[in-house]
Amino acid sequence: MPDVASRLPCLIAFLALAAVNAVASAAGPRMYVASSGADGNPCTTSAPCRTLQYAVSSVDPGGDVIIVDSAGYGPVAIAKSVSIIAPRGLYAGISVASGIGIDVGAPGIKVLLEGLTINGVGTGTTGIRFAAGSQLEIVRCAVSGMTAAGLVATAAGAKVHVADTTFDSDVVGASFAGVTATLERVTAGHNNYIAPTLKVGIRIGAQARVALRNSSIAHNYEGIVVDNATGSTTTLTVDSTLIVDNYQDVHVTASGAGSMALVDIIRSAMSGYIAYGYGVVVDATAPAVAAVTLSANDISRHLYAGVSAKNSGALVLATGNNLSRNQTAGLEQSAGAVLQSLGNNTIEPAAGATVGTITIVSGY
Amino acid sequence: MNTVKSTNRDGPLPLRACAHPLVAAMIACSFLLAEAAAAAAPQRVFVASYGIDTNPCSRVLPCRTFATAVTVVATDGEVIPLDSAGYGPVDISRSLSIIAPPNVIAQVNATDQVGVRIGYGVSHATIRGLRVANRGFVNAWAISVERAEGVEIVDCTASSESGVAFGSGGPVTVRDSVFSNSDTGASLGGGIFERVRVHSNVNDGVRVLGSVTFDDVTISGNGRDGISAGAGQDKFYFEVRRSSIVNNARNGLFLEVNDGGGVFSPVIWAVIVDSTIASNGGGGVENDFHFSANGTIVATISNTLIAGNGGPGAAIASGMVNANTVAHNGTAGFVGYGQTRGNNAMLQATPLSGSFTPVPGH
Repeated sequence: MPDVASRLPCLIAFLALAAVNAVASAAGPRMYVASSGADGNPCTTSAPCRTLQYAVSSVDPGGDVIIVDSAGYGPVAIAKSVSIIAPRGLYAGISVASGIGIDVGAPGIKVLLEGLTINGVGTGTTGIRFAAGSQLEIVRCAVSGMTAAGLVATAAGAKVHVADTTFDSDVVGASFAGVTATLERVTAGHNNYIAPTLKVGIRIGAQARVALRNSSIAHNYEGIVVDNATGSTTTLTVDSTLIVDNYQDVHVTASGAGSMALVDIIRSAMSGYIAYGYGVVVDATAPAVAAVTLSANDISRHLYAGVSAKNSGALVLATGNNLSRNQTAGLEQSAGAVLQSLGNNTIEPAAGATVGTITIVSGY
Repeated sequence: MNTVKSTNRDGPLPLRACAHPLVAAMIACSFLLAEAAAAAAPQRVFVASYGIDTNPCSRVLPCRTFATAVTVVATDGEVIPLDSAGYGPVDISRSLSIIAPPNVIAQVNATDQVGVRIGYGVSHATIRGLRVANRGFVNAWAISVERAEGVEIVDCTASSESGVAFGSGGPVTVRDSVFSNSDTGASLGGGIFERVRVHSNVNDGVRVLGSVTFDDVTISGNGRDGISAGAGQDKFYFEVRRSSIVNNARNGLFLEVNDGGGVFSPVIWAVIVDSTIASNGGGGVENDFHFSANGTIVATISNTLIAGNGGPGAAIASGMVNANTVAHNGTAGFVGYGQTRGNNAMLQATPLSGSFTPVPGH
């Protein structure tokens, strides 16, 4: 058996290396947080930190913060590129008693948020704010209970990717302006219409380009609102999405010179209980333009029209839709709007199928 | 204390503790176990943040790195990470699987080599649940599949700051994965791409070099083309169905043949159905014959929304367009030559440019 003296150099070397490792990991590419952690720790697997804010402050730019076990980890402000990742099967909570849950804002940064549950407990204002940066990716998150919005993305020129995420019981589920966003398997629901605040599932404002698919926007006062009044162009495409049981499922407006709202909806359902309002409302006065295509959708069971185009800046092209049991009309044109049909929409009942002038156009 | 000479960013990986008698005894036991394991390679081995690479990679004595575990496991066996950690780059040269459970963040961070490489000698492998990042080495791939038959990539994320996030030399199956923030998202020799997201890559989202079927795929926000398909001496078929190709800086899909100055006769057959191609900076679908008189590009586009692209909705040389909705594109709806069922809905100042022959259904 070796004597103590012979082992001493090894022991010293071991302790020295351990110390070096500890110091190094205080600023490293990967940090861990856990319910058992403490914020003075180096954020390693064996000595994790406690809060996301401490770990984000400690990690290298571009690094990762990994949640180790189920717990609450507190709100966090992010001013560097970082990924915050909670594995499936864990609950990584952020309770927002006031203000903002996750505040992302610094020029050029890229941020990934994955697996987080952000609860405004009825008093927090915004779940996730993206005010500056180049890219925000939100995956498998749930945001609820906010007095303003689940997500507010306004970082000019930035990209936003949202997948497998829920915005629930907020005043506005998610809103976008000035960004290019891709959303899939997103749920924006129960942002309901109880007075005094009229609530919205997804709001798309000026200079936003949004693509939405395979999602569910339900039980809001308005499901999707596209509203551009800035003299710019806003676009939205929707594919294979449920926009149902909202008082008004889709509302597209543009106002002011140079303002354009371009919306295309395909293979989706806009339907609801009979007591609710419109399916799709397109409303713009020239020179503003709100141009909408509706293709192969089901737009049914509304208290008023399935599709309503009104005022001189509104242009709608409908093809291959099913419009059933809308109380006033399937297709409704008024006040100088243009509502075109390829003549292949199915409207039931046939009596009162259309109101106003429906222009039949040819396919190509 | 020794450490693995690390060329990755998964941190120093301890190999040998100091000579406390108890530790020494444990190490001795572990060597015995390792020898026993070597005698009959285990079908299932484990790695953990607290493991060491002289362990037998058992459940109670896990190894530390994938690189060691794949040398211990039996052919056709499985490597399982037990907890969230970085496990280092790995080179797989025989049939086996690495499977991270959903509650584990198993990372591979490489700086000067491929993150996960599956070599030519592998006839079957599954890589599930890994997060692979290559952070520095120019042109290095995060995940590379050299011989692709029988290889499945499932529930993985990959990025390569200066290279390709995922590349395959032949037909491979990829599901439920994300390839992003790289020079190029994916380079595919063929196979199936299902429920995959490819986004925010500096260059193309996906490069297609062989027959591929895309299903329920989102390709968005890439710096050049969403899908770039190029054929030289090849003939291949690819299909895009139920997918979204949006917000890419250049074209949604770019189809290119190059006959090598009349040497080859490349052919691309492209079928695009039930998809959305929108808000791309160039055309929704563009093609380029690259001065290739011998080249052929045939595109069939059906039931697809083609909207808000900067150039034409679709430029095709031959093929068929059927029941599409085409709107708000920068130039014409359809450009070029082909056949139409006459049922495409157009919200375009110029719906058609070129010659599209109406044909009936059957």
